[in-house]
Amino acid sequence: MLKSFFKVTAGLCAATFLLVACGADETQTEAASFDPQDWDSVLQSADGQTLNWYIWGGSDSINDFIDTTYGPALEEFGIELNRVPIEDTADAVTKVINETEAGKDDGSVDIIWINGENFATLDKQGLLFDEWARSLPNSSLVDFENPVITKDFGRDIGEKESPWSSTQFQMIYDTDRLEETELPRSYKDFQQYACDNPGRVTYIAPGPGAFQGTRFVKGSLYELADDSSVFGEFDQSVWDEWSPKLWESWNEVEQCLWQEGNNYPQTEAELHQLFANNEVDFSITQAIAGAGPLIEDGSIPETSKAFVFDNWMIADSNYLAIPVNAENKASAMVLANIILEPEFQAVQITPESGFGLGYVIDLSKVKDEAQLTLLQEASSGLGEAAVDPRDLVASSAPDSASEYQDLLEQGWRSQVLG
Amino acid sequence: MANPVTPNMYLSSRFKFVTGGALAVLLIPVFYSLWYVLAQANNAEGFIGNLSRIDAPENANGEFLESFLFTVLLAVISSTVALMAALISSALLVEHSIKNKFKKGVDGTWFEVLVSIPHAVWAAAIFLWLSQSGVLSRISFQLGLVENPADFPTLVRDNNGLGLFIHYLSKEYPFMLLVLTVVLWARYRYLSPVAASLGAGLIYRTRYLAWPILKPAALGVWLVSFSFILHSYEAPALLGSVKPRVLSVLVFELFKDPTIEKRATAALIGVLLLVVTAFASLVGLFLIWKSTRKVADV
Repeated sequence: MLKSFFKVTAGLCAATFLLVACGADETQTEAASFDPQDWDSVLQSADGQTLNWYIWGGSDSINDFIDTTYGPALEEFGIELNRVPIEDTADAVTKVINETEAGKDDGSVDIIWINGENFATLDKQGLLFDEWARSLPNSSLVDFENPVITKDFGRDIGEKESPWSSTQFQMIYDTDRLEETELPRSYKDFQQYACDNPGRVTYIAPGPGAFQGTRFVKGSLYELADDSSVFGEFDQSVWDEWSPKLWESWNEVEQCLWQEGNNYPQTEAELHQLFANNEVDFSITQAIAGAGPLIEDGSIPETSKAFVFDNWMIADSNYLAIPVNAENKASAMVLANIILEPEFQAVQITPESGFGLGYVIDLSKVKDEAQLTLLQEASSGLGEAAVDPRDLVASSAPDSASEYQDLLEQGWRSQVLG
Repeated sequence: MANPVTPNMYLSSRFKFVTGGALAVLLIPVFYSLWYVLAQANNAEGFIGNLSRIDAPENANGEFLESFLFTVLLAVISSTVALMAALISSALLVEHSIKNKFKKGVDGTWFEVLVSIPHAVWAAAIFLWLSQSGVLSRISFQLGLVENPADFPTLVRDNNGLGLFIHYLSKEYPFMLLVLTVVLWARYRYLSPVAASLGAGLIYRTRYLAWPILKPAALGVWLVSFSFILHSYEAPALLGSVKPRVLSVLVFELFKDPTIEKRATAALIGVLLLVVTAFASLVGLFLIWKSTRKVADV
C-alpha cells in the first residue's frame, strides 16, 4: 500500500507542479498592452475580454440588477460579464492572497466589490492595482476631497479603489405592528425598548462577514462617547477608555434580548427572517432606498419602513478594487467607469432596481441638465419605505479607523457573548 | 463457513491501490497545512509558542478550548447514542427477519433513503421543522400550545447543540443500521437457529452470538461517524449557534478572516483536529483488528 501511496503522491505532485509551471509561463503580457492613463488604450485592450467580477451574491435582487444593468452595458464595449457570486467578500480576498502566494500572475479575480477591512487586508499586502481610479473619465464627477469617499474605514483609498455607492445604517419596523411614536430614537432607547418588550429585539452578532452587527454596536459606542471623531484615527487609549462602558451597556440588557441574549442572528438575512416571522420587532438595512428593495424581493412585509435614530447612524461608501494580479484589468476599469455614469447612478438608488444604494458622484459636478434632472428625480422618489434624506443626513456618522473593527468584534465575543 | 471479513481482504492489490490513492489525495492538503503552520511559526520554538497561544483572543477569539470540547463531546455523544440505537435495532430487525423467514433479510429501503439525503439538505429540513418559526412551531400555534414563536423551545441554533445532536442522530443512525444489519444478517441467520435449537434464549444469543459478530463493524461505524462529525461543516453552519461554534466552523471563519494572521491559527486548529482523528483511528483500528481476529475464530 505504501508503494501505491508514494506512486500516486508523486504523480499528483508532478501534475500539480506542471499545472503551476504552465500557469506561471502564461504570465500577464496584457498589463503592458494598455496604459491606465490613456482611456483609448484601455477600451481597446478591454474589447473581447471576459470580466470576472467577484461580488457578494446573497441577494437575488442585487444579482438581477447587476446582470440586467451592467451586463448589457459592458457588452457594448465588447466585454462579457462573468459575475462570480461569493458568500463573503473575504472569500475573494483569500483567493487573491492564495493565488499571489502561489505566484499566479494571471489571477482569476478581475474586480471585487469591497470596502473596510477587506480593502485594508489587500492594501497592507500590496495586492491592489494602483493609479487607475482617477484616470476614469467619470471620476471627474466624484468629489475626491470628501472624506466619506476618500477614507475607507479611516484608510486612504488613494487610487486603488473607485467608489460605487453609498450606504447608511438604518433600522426597519413594520407599520402594521408599531406606531412611529413607539420607535426608539437612540441606542439607549433601543435598549430600553428591549427591556420593555422582552425577547422582541436583537441585533446581528458582530464579526467578520457580519459587518452590519459590528456597525450597530459601533454606533452605540459613538453614542456612549458622544463623539465619533475620536475614533477616526486609531488610539488604544481611546479604546481602553470606552470599550468597558460599551460591554457594560450591552451586558445590562442581554436578558431582555431575543433568546435572552444566548444567541444572535449571524447574518442580515437571518435577522430579516426573524423580523418577517414576527419573532422580533426590528430589522436593519444599509440601503438609501430604505426597506424598499427588501420589500421588492419579498424578504420582509410590504408594510415595513426604515427609520433612523437621531444620531450615530454610520454612513460610508463601498468601492471596486482591482487585484494586482488581475488578468483583465482594462475591462475592470471600463466597469468602474460605467458605474459612475449618472444614468447608472440614478438607476441604482431606486427601490425598483433591487439595489437601492446611494450616489457617490457629486451632483454639483454634473453639468448635463438631463442627467442632473434624472438624478434629482430618482433621489426624491424613493417611496414610503425610505427615510427622509434630511433625516439621513442629520443622523449620519462616519465609520471608524479599521483597527477598531477587529477589537470590537473580538471584544464583543469575549465580553458580551462570552 | 466462509468468513466474509478477513484481514487478507485488506491486502488485495485493488484495495491497496484505491486506499493508497485516497490517502495520497487526502494527505497533500494535510502536508500543505502542516507546512503552512510550520512556515508561519518559523521554527519549532515558534510552533510551540503558537500552540500555547492558540486560545488567545487575537488568535482564535478565545474560543478554541470551548469549541474543541463542544465539538468532541458532540461527536462522542451523537455517535454513541446513534450506535446504541442502531445495535439494538439491528439485532431486533435481524431476529424479526429470521423468525419470519425473510429470504432477502432485512428490508433496508427506508434507511437507505435516509442515508442518501445530503447532510446540507437534511439540516435545512430540520431547521424548517424545528426552528422557532418552523412548521412544528406553527402547528403548535394553531393548536393553541404557544402564543408566539418565543414560547416554542429553542431546538436549533441553540447553545447546547441540541439541533446538531438531532441532526447527527437522525443521519448517523440509519447509516449505522444499514451497515450493522448487513453484517449481522450475513452470519447470524445461520448461527441463530442452531443456537436456538440448542436452547439459547434471545438474550444469550444476542450476548454471545450477535455482539461478537457486530463488534468490529460497530467500532468501525462509530469511528467513521465520530471522525465525520468532528470535521463536518454544513450542518453546524446551518444549525449551530453563534457560541460555542463547532471547530470546523471556527476554522473556516478564522481562515477567511480579513486579519490575515488568523489563517495560521486556522491551519493549526485544522492540524490538531487531524491529530485527534488520527489518534482515534489508530485506537479504533487496533480494536477492530483484535475483534476481527476473534470473529474469525467464531
